[in-house]
Amino acid sequence: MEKIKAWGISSPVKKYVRGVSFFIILLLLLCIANYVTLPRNNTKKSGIYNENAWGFYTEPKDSIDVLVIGNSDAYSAFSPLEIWNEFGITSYVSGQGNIMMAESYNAYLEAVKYQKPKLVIIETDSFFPNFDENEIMINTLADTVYNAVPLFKYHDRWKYVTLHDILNPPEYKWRSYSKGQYVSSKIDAYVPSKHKKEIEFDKTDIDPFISFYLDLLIKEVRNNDAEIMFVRFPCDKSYVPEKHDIIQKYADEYGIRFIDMDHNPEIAGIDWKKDTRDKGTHLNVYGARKVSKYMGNYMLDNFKLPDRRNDEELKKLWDEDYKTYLLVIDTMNKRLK
Amino acid sequence: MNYTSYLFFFGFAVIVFMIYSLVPVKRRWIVLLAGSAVFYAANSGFLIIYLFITTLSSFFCGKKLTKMADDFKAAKKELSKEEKKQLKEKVTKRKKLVAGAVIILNLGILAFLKYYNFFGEQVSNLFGLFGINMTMPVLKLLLPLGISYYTLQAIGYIVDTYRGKYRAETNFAKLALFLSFFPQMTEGPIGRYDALMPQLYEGHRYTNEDFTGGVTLVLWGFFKKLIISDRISFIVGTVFDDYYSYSGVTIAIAAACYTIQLYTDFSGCIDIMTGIARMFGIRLAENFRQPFFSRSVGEFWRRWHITLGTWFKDYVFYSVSLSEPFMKLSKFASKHMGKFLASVIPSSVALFSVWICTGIWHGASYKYAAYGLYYFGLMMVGTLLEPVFAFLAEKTKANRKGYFWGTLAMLRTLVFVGIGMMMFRADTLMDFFYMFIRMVTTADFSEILSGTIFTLGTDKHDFLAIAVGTVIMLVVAIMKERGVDVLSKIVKGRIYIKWPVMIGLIVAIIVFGAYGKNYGAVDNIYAQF
Repeated sequence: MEKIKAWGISSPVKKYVRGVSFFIILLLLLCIANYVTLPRNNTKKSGIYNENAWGFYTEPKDSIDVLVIGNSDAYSAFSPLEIWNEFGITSYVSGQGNIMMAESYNAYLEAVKYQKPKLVIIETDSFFPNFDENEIMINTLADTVYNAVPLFKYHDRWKYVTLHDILNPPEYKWRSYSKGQYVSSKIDAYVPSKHKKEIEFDKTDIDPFISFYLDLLIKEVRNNDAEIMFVRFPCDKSYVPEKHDIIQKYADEYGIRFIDMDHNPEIAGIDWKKDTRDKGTHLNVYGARKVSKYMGNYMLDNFKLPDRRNDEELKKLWDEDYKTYLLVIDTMNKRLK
Repeated sequence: MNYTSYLFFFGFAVIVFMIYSLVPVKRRWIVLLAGSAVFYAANSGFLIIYLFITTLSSFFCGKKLTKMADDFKAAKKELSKEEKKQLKEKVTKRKKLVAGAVIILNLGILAFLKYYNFFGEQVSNLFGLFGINMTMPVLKLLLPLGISYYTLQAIGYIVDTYRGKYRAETNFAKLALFLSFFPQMTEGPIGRYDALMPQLYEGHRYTNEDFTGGVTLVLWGFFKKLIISDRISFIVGTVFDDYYSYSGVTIAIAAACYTIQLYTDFSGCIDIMTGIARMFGIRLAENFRQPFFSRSVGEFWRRWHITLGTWFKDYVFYSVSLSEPFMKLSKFASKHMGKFLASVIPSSVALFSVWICTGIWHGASYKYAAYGLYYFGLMMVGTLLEPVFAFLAEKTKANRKGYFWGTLAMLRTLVFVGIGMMMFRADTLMDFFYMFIRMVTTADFSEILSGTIFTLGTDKHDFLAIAVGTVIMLVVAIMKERGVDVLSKIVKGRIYIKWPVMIGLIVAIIVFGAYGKNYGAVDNIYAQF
């Protein structure tokens, strides 16, 4: 300060310098806090939310050809390992319950840092989250802030920070054997007709906070020369024809293929007595098997996706994971019995 | 409103502040009015009509009351003493009529929107008791933002104009600003026209002290809200929602936690609002003065939600005390009862009015009415037993103003306040009774040793954050009680004190705040009133 005085800097300049210095010190401390609180691994234990959605970090570089983004309908209905086993297509499902499109957009941006998907499937139930307009706005803004400054998302990790964390940078090591799928063989039957009247839907368009990020996502996927498609995975409980019409209109406008497995239930052939794990809200592995079979055939017919089974190293890795997947289902069935 | 709303609110205030700073000083009040209108319309939409009705009716009522007072002043010069008396009576009657009608209109709006469904339900139940099948229709009534606060401000303005405390406002827009000033719209404090209006009207130039002081207060408010209140709410919610699963010890801890939660939530919000107002150079009325150092419940209420207490004192207690039936009662009591009872009985009637109003102001339920009556009961017992206490103190030569007795009195007040808070938080009055009985009959101290407290929706880290936050708050309060205003000292202090504190507060709020993915946003408790 004495030096500034000596240089003859006027009072407003001094104030300006002071103000800037204040923010620089603050920013510096926040950067340190941001670094310290970052999860050190891509696991739930390390503080990552929905760890299954972030397993693409540790798949071999550029090995995923299909990326599925969406909410719990996606990670319940889409089985990358079933598709691998039958069609040799590599895919990953990055799904999070009640996801906002801002977070879907972020998931895509993160994924393309490590992978080069040729096809991006966007699950469409997340176009209409179960929140009111105000909540959608707040949640979208919150997700935007969280993704820009992870400190706001992971600040609560101060509880578990160790000296080891401070001295070592984050290193993501965890692999999702199921490639993001939620594996459950539980059967909890559902009778569709009983619940249909419970759905209230009065929207005429996609919420602007959703469509803003959806537009960005589509633009980003196309900039990366990838194909894009919309899929509504079976969830009879939340289906209303108006949702289908709104999405169809949007898809037509952008020239995007749209498959609605609730509007056309015969394509997946879901048996709600056997194929759901929680009374029709989500599919179990049997439902996912049917959906994945249809999706595999559809993708083969409509997109140029390579059969990765020719890659020996990758085949070994994925086959191991497929075996684990079958073992998990088998163990679950034994436990359920 | 929850913290996200307050963040938006702070962002909004910063935008208004920037515009305020760019406009010529004389016109700055217009920016405040426009900002308040935008804020209100954005929050309450078409419900702004209620605020408009209150402002319009108060404006014309005030003008009429001042005009009647002026006319009387002019006319009385030429009248005889007897004629003056007659005219005064006539004018007073007319003034009462005008003020009364507008007060009833505004109270009517508040009562209808806030209490209609509750009273409708009681009436229906009453009919049901007599076998009459008549149910009052339940209405979907939307409560405009801050109606409980601005209605009291408007009534205060009308009564003061009626009493001739000041002349009525002649500019409608200025009165509208007084009633709608946006930092006061969510949880008060309840402002007085003569103290607030001049500050709102005169433009304030930017001063570093006001700006830094305001921002520091805002940060202090967020510190209380996010680090203590929103975190401790998990303990409170877990126990109060399932109290029959816990013993008396845990229930008592939860009641103590709720006392801290309510204080940090309410005073935190007031600090945020006061801080925002201060950025504009406007000093809002003080609403809290270290209430937990009170030595009696009466003193507690002079330190807690001060603007509500003084409002009821000035506009209910005095109005009742000076009313005709009350004066007659006072005269009757002095003639027929002893000196002590003659002073106690009339004041108890006025106090009863104050406390029943205070209770139901918080909400339409028996619980809140009982809450008001609880404090009325405590104060009456205190007043009635005062001669006994004085006698005992004299006999035992105890120094009631000394440190030892003072500390005991403080602890006793804390216990009474804690019980009151338990009633305030319980879902219903019956729940409160069950909780209270459980608290005093089932004390299982092993719950403390077994670490039950760490399983009440918080872990030991949360508990540590609450404890450290509370200790910091307590130290600041003790210093203030001893005449050292730490926050003011920091604001006026040198950079090497001011910066670390401000930066430390920001970092602490961001890192240790109970917000984000692991915590739900907790609505401010007093915003619902």
